[in-house]
Amino acid sequence: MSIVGAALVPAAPVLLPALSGREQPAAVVLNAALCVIRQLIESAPAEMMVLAEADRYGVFDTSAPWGLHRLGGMPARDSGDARATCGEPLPVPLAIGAALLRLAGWTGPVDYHALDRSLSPEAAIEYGRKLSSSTLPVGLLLLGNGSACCTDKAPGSFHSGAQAFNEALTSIIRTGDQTTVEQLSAEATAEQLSDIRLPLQVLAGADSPARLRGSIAYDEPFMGVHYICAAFLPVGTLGQ
Amino acid sequence: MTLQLGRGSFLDTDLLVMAIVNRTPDSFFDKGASWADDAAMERVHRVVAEGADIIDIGGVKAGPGDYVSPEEEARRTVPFIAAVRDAYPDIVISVDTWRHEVGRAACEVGADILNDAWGGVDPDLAVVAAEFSAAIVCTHTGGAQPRTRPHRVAYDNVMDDIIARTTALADRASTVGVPREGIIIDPGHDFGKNTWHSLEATRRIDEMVATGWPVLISTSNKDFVGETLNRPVDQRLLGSLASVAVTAYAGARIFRVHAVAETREVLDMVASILGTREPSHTVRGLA
Repeated sequence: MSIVGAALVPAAPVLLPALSGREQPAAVVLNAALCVIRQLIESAPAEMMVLAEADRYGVFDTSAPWGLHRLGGMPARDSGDARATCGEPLPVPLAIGAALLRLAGWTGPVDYHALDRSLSPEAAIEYGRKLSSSTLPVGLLLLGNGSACCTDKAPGSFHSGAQAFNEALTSIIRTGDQTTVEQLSAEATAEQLSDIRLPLQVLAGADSPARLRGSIAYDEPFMGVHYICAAFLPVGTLGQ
Repeated sequence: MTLQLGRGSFLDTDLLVMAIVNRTPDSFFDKGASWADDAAMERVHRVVAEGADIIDIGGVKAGPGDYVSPEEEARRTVPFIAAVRDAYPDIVISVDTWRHEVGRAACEVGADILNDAWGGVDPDLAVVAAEFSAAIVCTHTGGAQPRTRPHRVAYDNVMDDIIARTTALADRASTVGVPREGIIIDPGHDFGKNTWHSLEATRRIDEMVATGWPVLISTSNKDFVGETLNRPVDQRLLGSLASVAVTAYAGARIFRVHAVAETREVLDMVASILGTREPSHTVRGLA
């Protein structure tokens, strides 16, 4: 078994200190995100795999440029992305994951997996199964948020089903209910402007039969987007 | 470039104030202050007295909200445009719409400019502008659909994208027959952009000016001002005026605003700094 654990954090640019301004409005969420990533690092993976939904499929290695400049930032500020700027940059959600891994202290190898949004639940679960066949101990960093339609001012405006959707997600994470994970549809998550379906379904495939237990460190809406920070570690290691 | 905005001709050195008059019950800043006919016309009288060159009339708030049909949008704007035209035969009137049906009805009663704030979503809007020899504003939204909010938008180079998209819209407008001197480009602050993107668009506005197309700036009370200065929507005047001053100095030509008198004064000062406007009276050290 190669998957030693996983962490789930939002792919939110506002988490990055270089992008959130002087007052760091999302500092609490960032701390929770770094906390669950550090728990993942402590589970001693030899390699990290970062997974997020994207416009198209692709796998990138450690040398891929992050391209965080696409999100803006102070012209003279070092974004932490001082490596090669040539080559195709990571899709933005994966770049957020790369930056969060760095902030959490991870310096080892990383593979970045951009998951095509059109991937079916069955294909996502199979993708996870293949990832788990690695001979190295691997940690999974999953990027995704719940509904982005939690308030009138949310990016997707208000959706009356947002609360139920978010509650279903947190239940999935707490209970590891793989049947419900498999039932998450592309249509339902797109309606909520959520990008969490594929990361959770890949995790379900990678952790089968289930050995990991989810523990939620943050579970609140921020600017109308429901953020969840969670660690998935083998039963018996949580809370140590 | 000399501007020809419908019935209005303007010199290369003129800095123009476009006054916002919302015919909406729910716009983000004025929250329905000019929803009623009387209040709207009272605002027109006031902004004309304060020095507005253009009256920009809109019938749908930019942000998400209740659906407004083209018929309802026209009902909110077109009779009012006709009334403003009657009251001010020479003032330049703009209609803020992305729909060609509304644009056509507005031009039929005297609108001079079609302010396409959602950047070419309805390509027939430019055709209508050509048909009526009206001017058109070509706005950058990064491909965002009308009445949506930006969510984790990213650009390899935001100003390159702004220039590429707005000049493509301008070229197309010219191709379908809109007079070149009536085609304006707008970087679309906040539209399809986060605050960093809008700040960069402001900082690099000279690159838009260098395209040769006249540039319109619409920053008044927008979120990027509020986020930059940590100010709620009713406390963004100074930040808005700062953006007007910076972009006017860099060569922008038209400024779409809520606060007309304050903007007029800032633009007069900028024009004098640029050397295109004589000071009002100069006695210091000259007596």
